[in-house]
Amino acid sequence: MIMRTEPSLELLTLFVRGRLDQATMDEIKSHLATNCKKCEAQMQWAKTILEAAGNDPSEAPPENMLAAGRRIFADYERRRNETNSRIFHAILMFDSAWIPLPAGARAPASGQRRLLFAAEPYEIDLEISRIHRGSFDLLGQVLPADRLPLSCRATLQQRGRKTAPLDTRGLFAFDAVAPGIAGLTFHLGEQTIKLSRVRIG
Amino acid sequence: MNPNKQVKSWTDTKLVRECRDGDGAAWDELICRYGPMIYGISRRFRLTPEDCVDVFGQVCKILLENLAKIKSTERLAGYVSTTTQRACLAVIRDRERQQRISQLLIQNEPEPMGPETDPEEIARAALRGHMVRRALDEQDERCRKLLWFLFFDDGQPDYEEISRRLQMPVASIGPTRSRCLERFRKTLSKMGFCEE
Repeated sequence: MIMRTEPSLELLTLFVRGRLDQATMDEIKSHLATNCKKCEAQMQWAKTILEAAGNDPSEAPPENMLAAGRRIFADYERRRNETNSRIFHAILMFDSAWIPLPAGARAPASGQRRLLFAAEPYEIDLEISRIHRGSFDLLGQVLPADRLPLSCRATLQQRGRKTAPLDTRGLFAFDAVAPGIAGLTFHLGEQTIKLSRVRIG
Repeated sequence: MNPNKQVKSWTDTKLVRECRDGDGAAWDELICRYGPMIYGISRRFRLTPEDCVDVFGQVCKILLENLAKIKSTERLAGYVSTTTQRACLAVIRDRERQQRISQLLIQNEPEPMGPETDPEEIARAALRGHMVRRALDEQDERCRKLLWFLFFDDGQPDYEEISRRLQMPVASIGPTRSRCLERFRKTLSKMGFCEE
């Protein structure tokens, strides 16, 4: 007897596993004999999954092996952190909040603030803008951009961590930053630059 | 969400990124996720237990040193299986060299070394097995169980049994499992399973 409708992938999988009653097996065989390409392809896919699982040599490693892997990471991180010449703490060179306003003048409504940091050979220009109460945008640029290696990124640490890539001009942005104290870290290839305790707002 | 559970649900891309940032929990998950593949390949190459540990260590070091350079983190599994295969072959070449020297000195019969099947086939089988396991892990719990019963459970529970175990109406099992199968196929396709 030929099946009126195409068997489902579920049924074809059970067919491959030989887990159907004889009548249903025969029906599916008859259907496949009609050269149904879709069912043939689905059946092959089910076979592929079963073979992949059946031939998988993977085996749970012993605990001492995983412990060795953890030690390798710990050693690697320690060596990385010990390379102090590659981690720089940037120095604050300029903060627009240092400039006193003339008597009687009000601060700009935009609440914009500019900061300039230096960590040889780079300078980091930050612009902090109030979007609305309780939220700020942080835009920045690392210069000179032509000295930046590929795939640089900035990480903002506040409550949690956000990461933003630097584009080819060294520009990066974080939006909707909460007021408070934040840390910024720039991963520039072999070099890491840290800006600790940047006041937002 | 429990931080440990959170890390387990991270994609390979996120794990690599966090490892680059020095996150020990991310590294732990990475070696737990790929440990079975690395160890399984080494065993299939018929390496000694000590050599298996060496290979594991080698692969970990290579992975750490190249985390920043891995271009396609979605295909990390392929990178790990190839790296493991090469590390195993390096160990075998080393041992063969040592044995040749021993033979010259002592005239011993060489012990059999190396895999019984094609090394590339071992790495490929490990990679495909890993993908199937990972694709299954990425499904929700209900789908995972339904797919397990379908593909891997030797007991092959019928719908009544599945209904009892998963607290599902019998009539919904077929349609639900069909949807799960579709998602499972898409997940595998994204991993490049059919291209291997």
